[in-house]
Amino acid sequence: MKLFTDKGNQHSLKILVAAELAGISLEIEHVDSAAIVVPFLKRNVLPVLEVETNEYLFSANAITRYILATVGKDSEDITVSTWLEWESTDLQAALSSYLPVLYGGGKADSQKLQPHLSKLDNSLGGAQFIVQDQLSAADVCLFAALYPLYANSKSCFENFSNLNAWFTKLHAEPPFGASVAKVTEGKGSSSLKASILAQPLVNTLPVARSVSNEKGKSSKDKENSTTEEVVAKEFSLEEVRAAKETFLTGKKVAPKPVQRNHPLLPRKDAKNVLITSALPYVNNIPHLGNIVGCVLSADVFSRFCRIRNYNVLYICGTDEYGTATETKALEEGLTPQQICDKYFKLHDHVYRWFNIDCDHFGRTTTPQQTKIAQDIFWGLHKEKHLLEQKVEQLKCEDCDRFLADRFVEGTCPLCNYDDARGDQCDKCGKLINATDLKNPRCKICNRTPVVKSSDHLFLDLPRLESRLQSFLDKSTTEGDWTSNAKMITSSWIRDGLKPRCITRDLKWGTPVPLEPYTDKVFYVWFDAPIGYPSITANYTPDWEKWWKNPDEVQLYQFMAKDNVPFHSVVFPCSLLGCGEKWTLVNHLIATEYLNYEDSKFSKSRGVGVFGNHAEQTGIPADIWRFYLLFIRPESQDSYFNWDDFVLKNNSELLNNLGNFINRGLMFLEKNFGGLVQELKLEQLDCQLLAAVSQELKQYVSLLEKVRIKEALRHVLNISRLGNQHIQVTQPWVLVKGSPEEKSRAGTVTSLCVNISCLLSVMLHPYMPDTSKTIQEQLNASADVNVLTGDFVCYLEPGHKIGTPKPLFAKIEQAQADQLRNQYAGKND
Amino acid sequence: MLKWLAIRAFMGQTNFRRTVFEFDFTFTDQERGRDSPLLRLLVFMLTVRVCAALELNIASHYNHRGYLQAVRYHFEVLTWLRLKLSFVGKDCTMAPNRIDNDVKALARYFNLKNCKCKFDKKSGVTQLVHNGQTVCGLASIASFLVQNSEQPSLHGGSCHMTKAQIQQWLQYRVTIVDRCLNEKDVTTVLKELNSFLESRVYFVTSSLTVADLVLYFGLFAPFNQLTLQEKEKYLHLSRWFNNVQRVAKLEEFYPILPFSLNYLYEGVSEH
Repeated sequence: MKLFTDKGNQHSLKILVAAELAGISLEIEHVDSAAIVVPFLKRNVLPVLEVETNEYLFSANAITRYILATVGKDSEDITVSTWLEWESTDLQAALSSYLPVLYGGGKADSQKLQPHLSKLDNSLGGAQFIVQDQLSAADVCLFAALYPLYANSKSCFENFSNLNAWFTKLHAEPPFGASVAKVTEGKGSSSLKASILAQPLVNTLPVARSVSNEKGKSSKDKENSTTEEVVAKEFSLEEVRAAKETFLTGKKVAPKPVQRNHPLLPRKDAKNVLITSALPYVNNIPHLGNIVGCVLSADVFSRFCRIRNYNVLYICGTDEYGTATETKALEEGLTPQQICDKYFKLHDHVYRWFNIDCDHFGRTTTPQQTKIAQDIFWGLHKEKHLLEQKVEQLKCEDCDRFLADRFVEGTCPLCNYDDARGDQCDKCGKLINATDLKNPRCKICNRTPVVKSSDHLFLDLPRLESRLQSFLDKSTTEGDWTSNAKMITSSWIRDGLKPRCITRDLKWGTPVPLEPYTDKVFYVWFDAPIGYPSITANYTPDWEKWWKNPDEVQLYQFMAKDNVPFHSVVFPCSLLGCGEKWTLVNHLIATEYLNYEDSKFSKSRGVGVFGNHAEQTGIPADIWRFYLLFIRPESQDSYFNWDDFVLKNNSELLNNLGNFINRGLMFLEKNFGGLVQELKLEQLDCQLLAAVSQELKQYVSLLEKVRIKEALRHVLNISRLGNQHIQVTQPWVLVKGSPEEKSRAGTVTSLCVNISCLLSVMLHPYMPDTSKTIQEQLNASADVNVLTGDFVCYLEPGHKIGTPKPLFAKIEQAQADQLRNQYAGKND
Repeated sequence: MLKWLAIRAFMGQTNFRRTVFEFDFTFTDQERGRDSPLLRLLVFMLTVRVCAALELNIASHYNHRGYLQAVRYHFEVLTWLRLKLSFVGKDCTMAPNRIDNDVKALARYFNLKNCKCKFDKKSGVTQLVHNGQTVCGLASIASFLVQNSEQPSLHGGSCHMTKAQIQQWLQYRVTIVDRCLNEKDVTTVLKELNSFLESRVYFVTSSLTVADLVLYFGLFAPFNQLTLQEKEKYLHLSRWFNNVQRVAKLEEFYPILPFSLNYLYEGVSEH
């Protein structure tokens, strides 16, 4: 933690005193009084505590309380809050108009200050401290706030005897005195002047806000800014010339797409990218949010990497072990294995329909899983990262098994609801411990279980913390972690790591190999991430070349934000502690949640579109992919909305993208027999080339950082630019004119057809079927499917295109209304 | 004229394309200012119909710039009317009792029994009295309510840093948001918060906390004044605002403000 402050800032005094009291030494960086340290604040707020990169506390009072709280010295008493609020609002409003005059050498009117001082004086009433005879943040902050008065004139509190006594007593205490000396650097009041004059003013409470004139002004502003289009910015001659040069000659030097030959293994001469998507839990049918959150996002990125000619391996599969499967098996009267087999097929089908192109879609119930999980376990055991502890648990003596939370029911200890589950009461919603249930009963045989203690193994996370921290420091700075992933991870570590139980009394799981735990299985959170290497092991026996090769392999992991701690803390700890050099996550991409029509997806209430429904709607998978990626919850939660779905299909796909591609192709077929014409590029065309290559470069650099949603907008921008170009040049007029004009129409159209070719490649990660269809209509060779960041003329003069057909169909509002009702749930 | 138009639109017998342009001519800014409840209601009904029809037809009329402008304009009219109508009987725009309202709303939101709100008009200080304990000031009241409430999820957990961040944003509300003197101050606040939320879903932690609630209440009045175009300018803040008003189920306290799900003002081209 680092404190930024200007010299002689009385608010920094608050923090220094707190640090002295807490016995903490702070790193201090002095900056200019006018410096803006916090990037999002538009004013010079100082002091500022940098908690970590891009995380700031900019309220001196909050920092003071935080520092005191870390050593347990911050009082929870609400009166402290009240005093601090009074200080930051009323007192500072009075001081911030008084102090600059006082220090600026003017004649200061202390009249307005008197009521505030007298309020504090009365409240103190001879007490030693402001709140309950105990030193608190209130004393520290008020002392510092009033210090400039005292520094200016030692007799300023003369009329207020209680206040004077309180202040002088604190001033004599070493933490206060020492901090004062630090802030003033022993120079007294003169050292405060610069800072006080530079501090932003604290306003007083406005009396009433007038509304009418604000309205008037904003409507005027609006008039001034109504002209907006995607007007391509002006490009310099140099940029335009370069774009033209690349376009005309780039094909010769463009690389060929690399063939995908299984099994894929890391190569020395290529960028090796290993991609995993969070393993969907087998007994839930995934909903649209699950799909866009991990498998679809990972699919887009892996497809992008392939057209970039990287050496990619994309691994996914179903997570099959654990209590939930056992419960489901009991419900349906099948064995857990049968349940897994049944649902695995369903998952596999859904992802195939969505065109998810994994290199291998596997499952966790395999011998490889057992072997690798047990190897990691032995590694941790050998390195002494495992602890043994007793855990109190309910045991059903009739069934002879310990009962997992979900296998117990009983009366809620809090609200007396008689059908509470072992982990949570459905009525009051509180989380409960299974052992606290009144009248517990076994869900299987309905008899009363007894509390027994059972020995369990724990992973000693605190012992691995320093290694984890240095791994995280490196990975999060060098790799692309989404900001929510960084935030969730750092808050986990900040809350303190605790040993975590890795064994469970279940039957359906990977068996623990160590005596006397052999009747137990691994806890699913320990087991599930091991699915990634084990599924790879099912794909190739050389899986270790991917997974134990951190120097040559970059690992990208995709998931929703609730899965972050297991991938950023727990799984890395398992791998760091087992004594081998594993490939650890380099880039962790977590999405926020996708909601459905202003509420949540809910399987039990039947709200929302689930994986299998999408196919039943008859809308092609590509349209679903497009819309889900267009609203991908990248940095904010987002909403699936049927009206918006229809609008995006009809406006973006049909009228923008589809319209542009179809227009160009049809025109070429009708007027030029489908033959690409000679390109006599004029200034306007070259401007377009420059604009398109700029969009392309942005697309590439965004996708390299896995900003999937933003990159998609650049694809659509290109077709917008193309549409504009057609509109401006009007080839349908030119084609009827003189031979020169006709040849100009040929140039424009052939350029558009080449842009369509580029679009087909850029669309490939998002809409693979559509991309293929466009390339068929263009009769383009498979060699175009490589993306270097340069816009190159692939369809040269004389190339014969295929048969153009419309790419997208309109979705009618009535159809959307009907679908909305169909998936609105049972209540409606 | 207007009445006739509105009725015709309402009966559903109209050619919308024609209605839109007739409507455009008729419904001038002057008409906006005229204060007749009947007129408002009729215009409101008409606008709802026209907007509904236009929204669906944006796609088919995409090529007409005039239409797009009409859509934007009518979105704004709709916003304005929706608000005017939902504020009948509720005055949320006046500064002094606004804070008072917020305290009442918070107390109701946290469902704390036996509490009373007092508002001292002279000093502008709001107080909450609960079982004989008096708490002054909005930020302190909010912390107090959270401490004593049944909804610990808004507490943000026991982490010291989280607590400090919540305190900081509560302080931001009372020292900065509530003390904007002119439109420039408001704009600065909106800009700052928008840029803060660029990479975040909520202000503190990754879930809803009391900081979001208190800032939502504080920002309601300024947001209420924004046009859809301005809301699009503060994209991140708007997303957050919309998220909070829906996630926290706040329609009981303030009307739900409209946000457009589509980009209306960006990346739109004429062709």
